[in-house]
Amino acid sequence: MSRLRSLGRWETGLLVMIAIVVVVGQAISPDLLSTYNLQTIAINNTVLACLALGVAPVIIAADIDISIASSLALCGVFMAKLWGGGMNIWLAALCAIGLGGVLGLINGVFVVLLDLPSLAVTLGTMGAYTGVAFLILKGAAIVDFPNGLLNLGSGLIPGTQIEISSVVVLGLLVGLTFLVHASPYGRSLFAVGANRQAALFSGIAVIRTRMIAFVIAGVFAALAAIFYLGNYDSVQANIASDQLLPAITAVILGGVSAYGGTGTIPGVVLAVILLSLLESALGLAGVSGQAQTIAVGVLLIIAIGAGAVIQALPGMRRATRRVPDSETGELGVGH
Amino acid sequence: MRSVTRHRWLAALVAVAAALAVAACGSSSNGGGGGSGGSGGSGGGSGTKLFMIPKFTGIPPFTQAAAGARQMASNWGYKLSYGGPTSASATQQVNFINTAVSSGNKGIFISADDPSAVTPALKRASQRGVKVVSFDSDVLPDGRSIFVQGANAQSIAQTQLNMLGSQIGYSGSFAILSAQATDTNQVQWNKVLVNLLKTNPKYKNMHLVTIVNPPDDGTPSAVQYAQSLLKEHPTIKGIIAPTTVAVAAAAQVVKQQGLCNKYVVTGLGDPQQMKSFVTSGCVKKFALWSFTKEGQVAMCAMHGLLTGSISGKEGEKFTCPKLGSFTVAANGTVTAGPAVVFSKANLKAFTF
Repeated sequence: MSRLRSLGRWETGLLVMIAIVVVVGQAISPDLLSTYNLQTIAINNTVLACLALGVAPVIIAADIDISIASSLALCGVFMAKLWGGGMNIWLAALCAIGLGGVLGLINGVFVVLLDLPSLAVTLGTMGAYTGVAFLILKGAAIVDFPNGLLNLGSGLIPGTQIEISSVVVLGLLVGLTFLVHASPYGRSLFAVGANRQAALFSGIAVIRTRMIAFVIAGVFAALAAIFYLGNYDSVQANIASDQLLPAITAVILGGVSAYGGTGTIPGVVLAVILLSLLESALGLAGVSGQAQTIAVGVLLIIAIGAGAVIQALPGMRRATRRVPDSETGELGVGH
Repeated sequence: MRSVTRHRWLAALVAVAAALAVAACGSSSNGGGGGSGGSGGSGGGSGTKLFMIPKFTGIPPFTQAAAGARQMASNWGYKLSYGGPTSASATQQVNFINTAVSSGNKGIFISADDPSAVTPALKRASQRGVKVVSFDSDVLPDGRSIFVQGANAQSIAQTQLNMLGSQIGYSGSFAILSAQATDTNQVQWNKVLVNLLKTNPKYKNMHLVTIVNPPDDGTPSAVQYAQSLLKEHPTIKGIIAPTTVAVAAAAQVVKQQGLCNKYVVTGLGDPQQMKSFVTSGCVKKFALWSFTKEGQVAMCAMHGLLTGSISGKEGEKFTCPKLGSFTVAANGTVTAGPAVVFSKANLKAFTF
């Protein structure tokens, strides 16, 4: 119970920080909340939101996937290549989603079935996926996608000021939220992330649960690829490599424990909103690119520090996974 | 326990919705203000804000271009800001474009990391009346009004071939160490160079073995690709590197391996960066145009666009204080000046 309360405070904390960024940012530059600025922020951060949403279940399961940006690039290249070969763009997108699932499955097979460290495996596949993308395109770029795709990536719903991509991301958010927080799979996911050994002993299909998490990450990387192509109207082998660290930052800032077992999906999206508003507010205030990355780093450390403080406060102790805990009676065996 | 859990994430979902709603409220209250920036002819000069986005910050050519543009801007009282990604990144450039538009800049100068990826954002910007001048590395033509290049492709390609040819007796094989394969100007220069090799009898004994494209604009990649280039093609006589990063990297590799006398390294280099290689004799000649002048001319073109005296059509003319008159060529392209060849003799005048 106490653990839940402390987590509910996390989202509240994110909302407070969003409010602070909005109020301060708006005071410095009234352009922060202009329609144009909000629309472009939303359009340019759908890729980040998809990547962060997708990798969140993996981190909740106490694994990591750093190949997501490379999966994005490979899925994007694959999709563009199929389309260039005459395939319908939406059919190509569907194939890309399938490929994303396969790439996630490959990660899962190495990490879960062969019981290898996820950081090492996905470090390897990160290079491999980008490499394959390079081999397919041979350093070239594919551009000029059909209008339907560009509309999805950067268009507005006719007659409104609402971006199509934001609505789709909202749908993905709701879907993933139900899967992670209201389905039997979600309960297994948290159990596996909190204590893999205990989950195994209580009859949870640990292998399947972790595999599915990697597949989700792959599928969302493919969705991110579709949005990338739709917004930037071009693809090459090294696209979005700069989105990996922001995505993982958003997941941790969103309240998902780096040790796994805790966190919420909406929290991750709140973190994406916070990061993107912060970036825009700093940009509008005339803060340089270098200083922006410092600000994000500081924010992350503050957030993790705040998490540790919440944990340390009496009566708010979160169940720690690695140490035997009398409260929960977990076995406390690391993995 | 379960009901509490459900309650919590539901609350969190509501929180996201609330955050979006707050944003939406903000947008509706400000919606009217957004459109007012539109339509051209907003006039130039006094206090008008302009923004310059380099490929990435922290390398001399772009700093020089910004200095040139800023110096020219002061003639008319423009306020020029300079900012960009810390490493070549099209997604980051798009963020800078949007921020520049949102904060009321009336003109954007950009050197594109990926021409097609930044063009949609630039089109959105011009729909709001923002004028776009690309420099150094072009965007797609419908993303800008004018492209200012330091020197035209023909003179760059010819200068490079002459610099190499004069050192190898216009005979023998060589390789090109370029930049990312999507880098517009690199692709263009290399294309013209290949064409010159085929058509100009002066170069008939010079043989291009390969064009190498490192995956990014960083020095580590350029060094690595230069090393493997020499390993794969040890019999070449020289390397042409049409980028400041790659030419310095190639010179560094050749120097480290003690092969300065075996391979000729030449290309487009930054005088400051190349100084030590030239004084040590490892590099005899390299070329570049003046980035300062490129920035100055870009600023003059921007002034013309903002005051409405030019629109980027072929044949239009504009003047630059102290630099003279410039003509818009085909495709909205303006050439700032010829390439300058640097050697031991004249290098001192360009470095500090």
